[in-house]
Amino acid sequence: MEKLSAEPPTVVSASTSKQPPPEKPEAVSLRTKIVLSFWAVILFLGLPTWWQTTSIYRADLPLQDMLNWADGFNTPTAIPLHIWISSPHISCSDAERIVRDTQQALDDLNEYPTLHQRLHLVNSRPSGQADKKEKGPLRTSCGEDTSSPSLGDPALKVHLEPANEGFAFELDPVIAEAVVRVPRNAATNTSQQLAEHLYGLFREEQIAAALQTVSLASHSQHAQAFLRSQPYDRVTKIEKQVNRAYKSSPEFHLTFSLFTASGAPSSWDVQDALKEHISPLVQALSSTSKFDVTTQIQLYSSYSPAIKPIIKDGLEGTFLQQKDLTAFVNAAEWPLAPSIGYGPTINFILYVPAKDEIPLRIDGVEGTSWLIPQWGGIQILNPPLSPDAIHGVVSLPPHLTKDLLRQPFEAFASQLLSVLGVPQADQFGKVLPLQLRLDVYKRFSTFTLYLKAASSLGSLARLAQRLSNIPIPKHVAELVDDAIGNLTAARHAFLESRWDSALTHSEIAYSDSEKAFFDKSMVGQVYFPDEHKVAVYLPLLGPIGVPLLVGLLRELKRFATRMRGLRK
Amino acid sequence: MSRSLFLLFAVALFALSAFASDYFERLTLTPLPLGSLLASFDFRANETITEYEAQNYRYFPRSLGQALKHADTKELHLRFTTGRWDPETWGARPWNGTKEGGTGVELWAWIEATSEDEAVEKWATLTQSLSGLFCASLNFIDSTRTTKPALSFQPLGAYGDDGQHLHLLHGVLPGEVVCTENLTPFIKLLPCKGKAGISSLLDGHKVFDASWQSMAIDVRPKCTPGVEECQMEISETIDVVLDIERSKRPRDNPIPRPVPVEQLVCDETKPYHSQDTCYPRDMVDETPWSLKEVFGRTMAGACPLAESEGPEAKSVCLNVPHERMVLIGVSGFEVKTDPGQPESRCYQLMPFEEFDIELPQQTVGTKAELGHELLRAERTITGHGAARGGMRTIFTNPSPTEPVRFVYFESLPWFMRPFVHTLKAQVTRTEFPFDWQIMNDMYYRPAIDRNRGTQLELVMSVPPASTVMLTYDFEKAILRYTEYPPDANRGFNVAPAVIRILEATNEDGQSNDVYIRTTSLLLPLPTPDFSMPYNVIILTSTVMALAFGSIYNLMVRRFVGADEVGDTKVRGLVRKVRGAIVSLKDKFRGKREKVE
Repeated sequence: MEKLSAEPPTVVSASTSKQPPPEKPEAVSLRTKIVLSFWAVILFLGLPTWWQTTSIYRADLPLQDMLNWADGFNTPTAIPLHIWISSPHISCSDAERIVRDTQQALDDLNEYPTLHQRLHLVNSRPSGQADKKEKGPLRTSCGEDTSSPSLGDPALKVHLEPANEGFAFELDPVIAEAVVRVPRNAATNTSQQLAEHLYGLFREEQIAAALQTVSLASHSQHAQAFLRSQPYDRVTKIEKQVNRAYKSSPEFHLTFSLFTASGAPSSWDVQDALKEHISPLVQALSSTSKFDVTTQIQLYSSYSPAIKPIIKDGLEGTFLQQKDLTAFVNAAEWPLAPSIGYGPTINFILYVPAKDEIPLRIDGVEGTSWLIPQWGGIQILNPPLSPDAIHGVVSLPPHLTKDLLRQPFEAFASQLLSVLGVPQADQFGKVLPLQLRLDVYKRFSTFTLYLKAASSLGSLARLAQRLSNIPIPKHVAELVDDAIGNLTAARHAFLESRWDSALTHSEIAYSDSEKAFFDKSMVGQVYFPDEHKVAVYLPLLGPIGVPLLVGLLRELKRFATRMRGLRK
Repeated sequence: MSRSLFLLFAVALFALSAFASDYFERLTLTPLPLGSLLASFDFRANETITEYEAQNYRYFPRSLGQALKHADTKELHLRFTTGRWDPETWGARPWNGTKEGGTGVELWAWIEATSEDEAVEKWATLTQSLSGLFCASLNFIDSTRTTKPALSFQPLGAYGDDGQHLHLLHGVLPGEVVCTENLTPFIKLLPCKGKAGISSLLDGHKVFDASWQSMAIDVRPKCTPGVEECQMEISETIDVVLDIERSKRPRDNPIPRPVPVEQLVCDETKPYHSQDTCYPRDMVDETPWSLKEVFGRTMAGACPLAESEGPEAKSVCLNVPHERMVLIGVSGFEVKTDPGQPESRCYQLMPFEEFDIELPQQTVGTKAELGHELLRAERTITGHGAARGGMRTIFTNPSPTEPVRFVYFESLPWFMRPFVHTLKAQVTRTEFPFDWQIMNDMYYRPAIDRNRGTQLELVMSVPPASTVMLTYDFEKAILRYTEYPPDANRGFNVAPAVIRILEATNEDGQSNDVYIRTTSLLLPLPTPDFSMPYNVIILTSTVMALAFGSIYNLMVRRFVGADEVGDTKVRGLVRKVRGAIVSLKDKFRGKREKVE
């Protein structure tokens, strides 16, 4: 109602007002030019300048490549495991037949191509006569030359020996060599048996590698199929072993600590014990990772106060309950800070209880040592009490001699191997030769480092895609390129079964990819809030933008009406 | 059987004698005037160089050892200090001032490196790992807070031919607040960890309630002539000046309460003394105290690692005259020094037995000699205004006969730019009749903005019984917006000056330098209004919008006569609204008229 009543005066005033003279066409086109030139300056000068000055530097990353690596598309499909067979005392054709049949049997047993055994009949000169060239040509006709590059590093050397009795497979106790006694007849059976032995020897390694592939690469149908074909309990057992082990790393710190609940003992012959039990292992493992050993003595460092040991009637000493073992480490008070530098720290703790708790044992278990997965080992030592030199009171010895340390350090040595993931025995529980175990460890850790490097490249690629406002500095791109180069080199080495070079390249790739992923300069800008930008831009863009926009709209409208007029 | 037992005995004895001297600890208690007590905790441990290099840590803490090894640090000195030592009342400083730092945190180290740049890089590694180890902001010691003093510090360690690759770097954090979180890692470095020995007395609540406290860690290689192999020595000291009355307050009830009337000590000779008026008498007796009262706990026996025989075995010493009565339990064994000054007594403790000392209230005729300071120094900032200022340091030599020669070391932040031409030293008061050359030598390294601070080292001497005033002017730099700390208006900390008194001779006749540190200073800098950038943005935006808007409109608008203005949508709307308001008014008015 009010609106209606208000309308008449408007109409009246509009009809009475004087119309301005029609605008000259030059003036109109001049105005259009002005508006357009303003907009041209903004679009072609202002916007690029703004973009240039405020953009975040993002180096070009080969994102698709990185994702491919992480998904496992570039993982070599077949990593051969070369086994050299020599037969100095068997005729060449027999040996070739055995090798062929065994390979056939092996291929029938298992189709998974990663770490699949490849048998090679090699020219077997007895080692003592290796240099004598005149004897060489006689035997070279049988089998390949050991120096041939296509053979790679052997995982096992098998010597075939003719025997009168039945088939026998004997592993050397130290080095990775085996002697196989082949009966003179019933040869097909021999090949089958040999194939089963070889398969059994490397089966766990293959399972472990498949598990690692499944956990680290997304493209792993082969590995999954292989794992499904294996007995479930064996796979879970190996999975447990793998999970217990420290993640592979190019460098490890080992810390051996003596913790005593009271003020004694305060010294130990640790240098001798290390030399005897740990140094040989470290030496042997040094081809795979770098190890740095430190030791310390900490007095008055009792176990975690949450643990209440129990006393049993009729038995001397105190007992720890098995459920308390995981909580034994007194994280608040024990100075077990990780070592400075690259690589994780593995702790080994020798714990000497207080005098009134000796002997401290574990309820229901014979031994006094246990392993904490991915952390290290603990060993309780109950040293013999002796009368004090001054007061004659029975007390703990002030010094732990080499003899007292022998048993604990033997335990530490075996704990070190299992914390690192070095296999202990084959599937039948037989202890494997040390070199074979170390070789298995080296291959496994090479493969793990390779997969981890690929996987962190993938994470970096996803991160770069997901967070569009993080800067990617140039050196990150360089590191990524480097990592990819090393991964490619490692892949070639895998295919050729050259494990040392594969390890070197995988290590470099791993450390480069980690460095690239954890680069500090990438996280800086993530937390710069957008409201902040609005607060800075709005006071300028508001008052300037509105007239510009209105001007542009008006021009567009005029242009539209003119076009319509022209069409009519 | 008996033979093997004997053998064991012998082995045990051998082990004791062979290893015991590698650890030493002692607590020295010195009552100071006006009811204060100086407690000096001293811990020392050795590790042979071979074991140290092989990383077999026994008494040497692994965490610290690894940090030092990682940064190739050969010698380290770290100080945490709060409060001010009052030389007028308390006399000479403990350890001649060598085991204390300026207020806050002070760190200096000799780092092995082939070049200066490498040394600086390792220094950064060192400060970062120490920062984590001691829960202190040591990682804030950057290049602007690092200096390379040339004259003020000498290495204490034994270095053979490889001494020329050592670089001394010195850093100060005067604003760092030292507190319990720094003491806990400190105690963890000790082999007996506060569970036994004198370290069992250390309690953060008491140590940081003190009038003055200083914690020090010194690591150095040491070659003793008698010992075959060189050793790495770590020495940790904690010096605390406790106010006895304050420390005796119970922890659960720390508020001081008035003394009950019947316990007041009144001067009864005053004529107005009565039952309800009391003139308190001067406290002339020695204050009574015991370890349990002062530290809140008794000592938990001797640390079994310390030597159990000989002079080093006495882990508690008390610097009181012999006539002062001291009560101890059965678990200690007292040894007094020969009569005559300085009188003191020491106690050998039993392991695993609680130990306490009790000193009753007593009137003692002889006062213990406290020693006196060789030089008094007072440093202040003068001047006014936001642009300029001046620094004034007053040195007083109290000795009537001996001149004092010393190195005066200042490290100034880069935003404080001294004018060296205004540097002036003059004698303001003297009883020494002859001319005296005050300034002997000078080492000056100017600051580079945002890169390094000023380093000034002066070799000076003050004539006997005189006062010297050192002054210079400086200019205050204007910082960038992001360089201001959150509490910019509090002022900026300026590190204390370090004074090394040269050629001071102690009672052994050995040359032993004395160190004195002045108090730290607060420098007020011109601080901007921190909302300024937004104000500037908005102001400039407004001006630009105004200018742009008018020019743009001038160019784009079409100008017509006032009566020729056509009706636009907006104007139509305004007119409609106006009409509506008018009609509404009319209606309203009409209603009101009806009501009336």
